[in-house]
Amino acid sequence: MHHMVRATLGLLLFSLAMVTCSSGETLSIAASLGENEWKVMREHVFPPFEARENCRIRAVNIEAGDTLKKLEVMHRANRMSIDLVLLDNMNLAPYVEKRLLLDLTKYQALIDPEVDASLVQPLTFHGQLMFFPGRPNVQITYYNTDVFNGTNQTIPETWDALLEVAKQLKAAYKVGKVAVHGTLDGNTTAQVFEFITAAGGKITTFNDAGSIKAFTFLQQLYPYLSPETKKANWNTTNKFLSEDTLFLARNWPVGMQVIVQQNQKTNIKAYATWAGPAGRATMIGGDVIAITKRSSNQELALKFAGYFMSREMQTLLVTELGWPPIRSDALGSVPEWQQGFFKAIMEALRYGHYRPAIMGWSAVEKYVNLAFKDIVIDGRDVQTTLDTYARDLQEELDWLK
Amino acid sequence: MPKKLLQPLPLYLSLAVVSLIILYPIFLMVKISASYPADIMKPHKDLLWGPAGITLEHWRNVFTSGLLVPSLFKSLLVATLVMLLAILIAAPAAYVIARLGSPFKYLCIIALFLSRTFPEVAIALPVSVVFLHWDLLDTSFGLILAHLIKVLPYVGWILIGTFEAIPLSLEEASSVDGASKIRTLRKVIVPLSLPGVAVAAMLVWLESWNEFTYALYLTVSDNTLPLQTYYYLNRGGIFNSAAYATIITLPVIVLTFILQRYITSGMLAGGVK
Amino acid sequence: MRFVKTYWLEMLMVLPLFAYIIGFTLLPILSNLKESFVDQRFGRRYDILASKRADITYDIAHAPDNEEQRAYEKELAETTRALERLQHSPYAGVSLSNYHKLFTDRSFVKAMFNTLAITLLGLSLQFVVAMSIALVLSQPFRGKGFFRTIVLTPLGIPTIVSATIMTYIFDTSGYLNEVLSRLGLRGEVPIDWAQGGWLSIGMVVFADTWKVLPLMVLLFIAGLEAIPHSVHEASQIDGSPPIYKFFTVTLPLMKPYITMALILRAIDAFRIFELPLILAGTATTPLISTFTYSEYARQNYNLSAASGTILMGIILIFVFTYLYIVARDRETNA
Repeated sequence: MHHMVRATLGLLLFSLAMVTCSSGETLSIAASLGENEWKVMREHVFPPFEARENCRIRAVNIEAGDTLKKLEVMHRANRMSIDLVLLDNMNLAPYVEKRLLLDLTKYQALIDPEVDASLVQPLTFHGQLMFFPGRPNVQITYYNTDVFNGTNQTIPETWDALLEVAKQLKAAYKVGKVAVHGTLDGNTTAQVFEFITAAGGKITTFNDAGSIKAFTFLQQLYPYLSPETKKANWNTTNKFLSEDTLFLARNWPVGMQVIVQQNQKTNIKAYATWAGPAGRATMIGGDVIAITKRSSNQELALKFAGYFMSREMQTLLVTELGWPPIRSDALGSVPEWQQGFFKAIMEALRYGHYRPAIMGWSAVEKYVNLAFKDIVIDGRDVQTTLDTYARDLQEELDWLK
Repeated sequence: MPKKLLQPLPLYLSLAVVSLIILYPIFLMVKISASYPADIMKPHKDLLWGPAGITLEHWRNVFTSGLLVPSLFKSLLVATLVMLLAILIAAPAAYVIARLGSPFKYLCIIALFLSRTFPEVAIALPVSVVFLHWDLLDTSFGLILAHLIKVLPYVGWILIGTFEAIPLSLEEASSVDGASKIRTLRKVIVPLSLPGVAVAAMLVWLESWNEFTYALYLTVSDNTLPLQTYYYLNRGGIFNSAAYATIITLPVIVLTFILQRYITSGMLAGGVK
Repeated sequence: MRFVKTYWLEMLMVLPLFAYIIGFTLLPILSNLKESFVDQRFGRRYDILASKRADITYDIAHAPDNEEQRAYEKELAETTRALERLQHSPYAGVSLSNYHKLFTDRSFVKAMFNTLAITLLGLSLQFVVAMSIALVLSQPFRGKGFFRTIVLTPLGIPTIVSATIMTYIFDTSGYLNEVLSRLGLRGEVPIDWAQGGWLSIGMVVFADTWKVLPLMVLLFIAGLEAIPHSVHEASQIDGSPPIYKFFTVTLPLMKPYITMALILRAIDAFRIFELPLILAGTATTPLISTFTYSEYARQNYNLSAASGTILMGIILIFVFTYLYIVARDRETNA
């Protein structure tokens, strides 16, 4: 009896081993995507690659705000179970600083010439290429068509018009109906960046003419903004737009999924943005591809990176998800309900600027938010506050070089 | 206490008001999970129900997503095991501490508490690194150990109070009768402490069921229920997360309904006699 | 040795708990304490260089060929030199700069005030309401089981969910403003509950109380149940009014439970975090815990550690003071 049991077990283990060995490697990919986006990934993006490379893709969702912590924990414990990450590019410096990623300088050739070169340039830190472009993204200005119908109000194209609109809406509704992201975190920094750049300023200088103009304008605008500004981030803004708490607000394209598809608000549309004293300016966000340093599947991950950047895939992402492509030859038509939004996105990208790829971005963020609180919310003097913080920021940036 | 303190009318009126305040947010949660978006996303909210009525669309989405059952199972498994382990580890220790002399006792209690006085985010990272080193990533076992960290001081504190409330005289009486230490424990202490232990157990189960921070660090592919809810919440998927939230709350309501009569069965009264 | 022999059972019973606590909580806390006394500028740099060194060492051990290995070794030497330079910089060594920075920060001082206000207000409210409900529930009446279940339900809702529901209630277009508007209790302008000051403190207290009430009620019920019937019967005989009996008989007997409940609650109340963040935002209602979190998110680990230590200090002062009062009370009454 004993021998029979042992033999059966042995056979079982052997066949198990055969099965697992013959199915190829597993590539672990992490990204921060919505349900509909994951659906497209699982149905259209992953299968051809899995077939071609005879492997399995294990896809995991990690929210953008949690990715750094999770990767760091895995790296420090030397148990890296993620091979490739589609990272939100809001603050890439810590990933480089903590040495979590593979240096991609050697693999530059994976990037086809059709890929927009300006997308690649900010991905270099200390002379090393650390990321591949994944998809560019930009905020658009959502507006309520019932209010902005041309007769009551027209969408503001300049700062002055924006101020006017905010004032009129507040007078009409007794409460502000326009908002900026005032949560004093990365959301705020992104929008302040846009205002500063649209005034010709440089966010790292902090107290140049453009920055002063931008903060002064925001200070004037704030009293006419919605009280929900302090709770408005990339997520809650969609709710506020959907329930008519806000009639005008800038936010990321993800809003169209939530506002139009989930909340079924067909009266919300979008346009690119308004112009400041130095013209229109938007901040280019988006996702980039990174490969973890201690991954055990680096070759496979690199292959997937190339695959993701290919023309076929980028075209697919345009037609299935309405994602702006990284390359000029990925032409496709977007689903109908998204067409207006897509047009706004592509136009907004044309006015796009990159944040400086510096190591001390979190220091910049800290001072921008401090300045926003002091100047815009509490109404302190623009020049003196900016001068103080500019000096402190410079000190910190020097220390972090 | 004399019954005339509780006149029926003012009693039931105040009970109704309190119940309303307690239940309304829960009602909102369930309502949102079954509402058409148009009814929720508007400036003037309907207090009771929207004109478009009820829709089971969101519930259908949740059940067909294939994500519900695994996370339900994981949460259930972890919560129950955490509860059992916590009581097993904390109860004996709590008994000993409760019988200690004054300075020692307070020292122990403070030591127990120190962990809970510190912000979780600062502790969770180094702890998670250690756990990962021991290959506990993405395992239920790792999550159980992490939840114990959170829960042990809490349950220890409650149990110390429970054991403190058992009069020393009862124990002394038992040893005068010739019972050994272990026998005294079994026959006297354990039965009398049951209400307190039951309360502690239930609270531990709930805390683990709702736990979120450690789950965030220690989970990669199999989410627990709160993590799944967080995922939808974070992206504005209020309808899906309301459905998940209702699912999270339902067993709790059922459990409390079943257990609430046992909390007051007056087990202690027998000991006094 | 005799101590061990007599108390072997007790020691065995205590061991697992304390091993766990010391290993997984005391040690991280002590390390955080240490971190708080390191200047942030030094700490940040040191973090970067030290992890770089650890990383390079790992890479050297796993280098595929000699050329890469030499490159890594060169990097390692550079990093070690940089570390030495850092150790000799003016920012090295034990430093109180983090604490200085915090206590002179306008926003942090406001955060301390908010934290104390929310906790003390919250505790008082929760004590009164929970005790009243527990008293009612210790009496027999029709529908008691039903009501008891109702009171316990908020316990089952995860914090993130209850926080979100509360935002739907307290938003300017939320349900509370709607109720107030229909009852005619507010004008045309919706109330901005998150504007800061006592209004926001009240909002956070209400939302928190809603969530934690069941726990306190449970503890108080357990305490009331623990009072032997003989005491009730005895006190009923002498005929004094029930309120008087409550304060002179019931309350003192419940002291251990009350102490337990209040301290347990205080510790969590001081650390309240997701609720104020989501309901009010840090712009108007900063708290020590949200401060700690945002500094941590910015990789300012030393500043965050100092902030967390201050919070822990406040909690300990509160707990010790309370326990001291209770102990002294017990002595005078014994």
